[in-house]
Amino acid sequence: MTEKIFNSIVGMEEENALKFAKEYLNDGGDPQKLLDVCREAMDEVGEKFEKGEYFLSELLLSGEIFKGIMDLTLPLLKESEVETIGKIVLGTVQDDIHDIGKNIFKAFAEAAGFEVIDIGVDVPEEKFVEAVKEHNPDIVGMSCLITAGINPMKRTVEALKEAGLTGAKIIIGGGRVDEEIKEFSGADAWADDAARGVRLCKELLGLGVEG
Amino acid sequence: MTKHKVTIMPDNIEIFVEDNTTLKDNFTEYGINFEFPCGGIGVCKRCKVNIMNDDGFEEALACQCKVKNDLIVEIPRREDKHSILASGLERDVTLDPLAKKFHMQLPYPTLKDNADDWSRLVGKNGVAPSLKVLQTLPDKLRENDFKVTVVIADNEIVSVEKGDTSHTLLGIAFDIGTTTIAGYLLNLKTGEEITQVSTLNPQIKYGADVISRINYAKTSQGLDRLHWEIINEINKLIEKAVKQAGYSSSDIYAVTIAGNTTMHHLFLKIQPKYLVSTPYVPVVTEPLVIDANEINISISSAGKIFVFPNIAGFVGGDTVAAALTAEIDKADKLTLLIDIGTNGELVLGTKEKLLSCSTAAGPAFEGVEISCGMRGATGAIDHISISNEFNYSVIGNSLPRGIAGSGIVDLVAELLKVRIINENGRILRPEEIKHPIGRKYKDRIIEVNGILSFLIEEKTASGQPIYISQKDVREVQLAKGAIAAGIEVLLKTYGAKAEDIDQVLLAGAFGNYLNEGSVCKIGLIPSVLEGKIRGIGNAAGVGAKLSLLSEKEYNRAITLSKKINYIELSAHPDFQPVFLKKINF
Repeated sequence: MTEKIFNSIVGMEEENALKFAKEYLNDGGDPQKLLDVCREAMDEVGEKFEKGEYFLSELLLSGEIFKGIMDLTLPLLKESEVETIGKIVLGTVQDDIHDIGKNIFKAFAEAAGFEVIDIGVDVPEEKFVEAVKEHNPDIVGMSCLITAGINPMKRTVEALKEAGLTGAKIIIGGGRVDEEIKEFSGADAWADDAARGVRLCKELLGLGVEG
Repeated sequence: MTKHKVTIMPDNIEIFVEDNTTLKDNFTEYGINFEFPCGGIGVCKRCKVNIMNDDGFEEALACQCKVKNDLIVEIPRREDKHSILASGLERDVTLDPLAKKFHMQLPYPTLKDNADDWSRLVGKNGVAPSLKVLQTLPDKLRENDFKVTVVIADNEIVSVEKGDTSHTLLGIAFDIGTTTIAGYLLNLKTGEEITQVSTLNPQIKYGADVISRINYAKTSQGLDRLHWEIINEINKLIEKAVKQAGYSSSDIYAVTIAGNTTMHHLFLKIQPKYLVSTPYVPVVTEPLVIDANEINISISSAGKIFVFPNIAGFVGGDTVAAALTAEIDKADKLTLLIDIGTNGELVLGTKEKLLSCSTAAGPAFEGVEISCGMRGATGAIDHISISNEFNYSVIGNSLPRGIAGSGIVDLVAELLKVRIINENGRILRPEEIKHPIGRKYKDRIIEVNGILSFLIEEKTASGQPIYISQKDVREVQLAKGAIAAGIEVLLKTYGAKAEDIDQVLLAGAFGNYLNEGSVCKIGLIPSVLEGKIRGIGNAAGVGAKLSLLSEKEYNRAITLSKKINYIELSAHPDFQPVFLKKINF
């Protein structure tokens, strides 16, 4: 059964994936194991994206499938049993309203075991500061699609520093970011696709990339 | 304020005009069809009219004659208009170029007629003198028996030349694209196009799209460098064009420049960096007329550069020029103009209301950033069809060197039809292909650097195979998704549906070769519009030419630029969800 679930996630069969997952849980399957299968499937989707075999719509769809299965599974797990590998505060920076990249990253980060607190789009630096104070994350993720978001990224990094919130690593993501923009903004890492972003988040926390 | 009645014969039109205004001002205001070849500065003496007074008729220049009492004016009938054709979208304009020359034989000064040299040239109420011209004027007049040629541009006398040089009067129109620069050398005396020149924009080494150029312009000396690159390349093109035709660059007196807003700013060495942060405002949208030597354009030292107006940060003078060519300001029925270059600019509307937007489509349709892509030049595969046979055509019938935008669109459309590409844009592996025709070509599915690709041809000019890769298909999806989403958002804002559109005009090099079916098959343009799409070639270039040949067209472009409203897609809440829907086939 877990193989069928794995294959229907990777094969983008949303209905089947959810149906099989429900059946598996109804038959007394281990929810933790189900999550692991989903994570493996998401890794596979990420790999296919990197090879060009999958594209944005597949990433979004797999994110939705994953979320659907998570919604079924999480209530069955005691909070202590839900293993997370780190906490990310995530938002699209001020002056940018695009959230495709952010949402895809969120799905993949969750699939990799991160707890993600999504603070939305067009987020001013004060709101990032507030959210970091409140949630004390390991990582702050800032997304932007358009170049208008580059200055706000720099401002947000500065605002976090000024507020003395230097505990979290900062990663920026989006189609327009690169090493130069990372240096400019003062972030710790950059990624222009979700799979790379998640890998870097693990590296930033000193976690192996094999999981 | 006193008003005077002016009766215009022979049509017997009565107009009421303010005291002390010129006939020219009033003719223009009341739309009386009358020409002022020199722009109304008193030089050409071609606007002669007859004014009736008690003693009969008296000749006067309409541009100089001020109305001080009621008048009867007779205007001569004129039939010496002639029309020229501009290639691309065929369209007639009356030759009235942005630079003009008039040969004059002036009376010698005498003790009785001792008016100064300047008034001898332009009359008492003519145009104000310019120092540059005055400094050489006296010798020029006297060394040539008072036979001189006056050069007029932008309503001023820019030069006085010895003898009769009126037969030599050239202009060059430029379309500065992010990827390609095209120049059209025109004979402004006859309206003929002498030659065309084009080249890749040398700024490409600092990035393929406008955003990377702007980022480079922000760096120390970046702006100087980008400006120098474009000026230097334009000078090279000018040199090449005049040499081909046996002229000299100093025979050029007027240049029109149509470019997107970033190219416009870089051409003028204006910092474009504020274009990339909200709210994306350009430094200037107004049109500009500048002296050629002010920005080191190597034409006649008296030459003028006419720079097209912009609409917004990402809809520039090239779109204005394309809209002029398309005459969208006269459209009775809903018209969609799509200018596909490195960005995709859209203009939708009728003569009543016009909306525009810009989509970051990327240069895929120009063959840029595609593995084997090239622009539509000799050696480019421009069409492909797949049935029981695999056929393609090459521009210039040579061995293929690469694939042009139109070829890429055809190929993707055909691969979709035979199900080698699925609706998500994935190239299937040979064993997955089920379609009977598709299966015939399963051996063409190859891997290039680990990425699945479809082989087009092995026998090529370079010996390297020509193929389309999975990554290329993704580029096409992003590009067509952006334009298709732009169309939908524009329609929604306008309050219309795709089927309400009466005609789609597709501008850009790609439009020259497009196959309507393919364009609809890949979803670049809604399929309900198949049959209504027309390629109009490099409409921006044609607009720049039309304006160079006709001051009226240039002024029309300026009016048009103010009429087109702009919608910012990057801040539009509908854009992203629509874009996601449009990415798939």
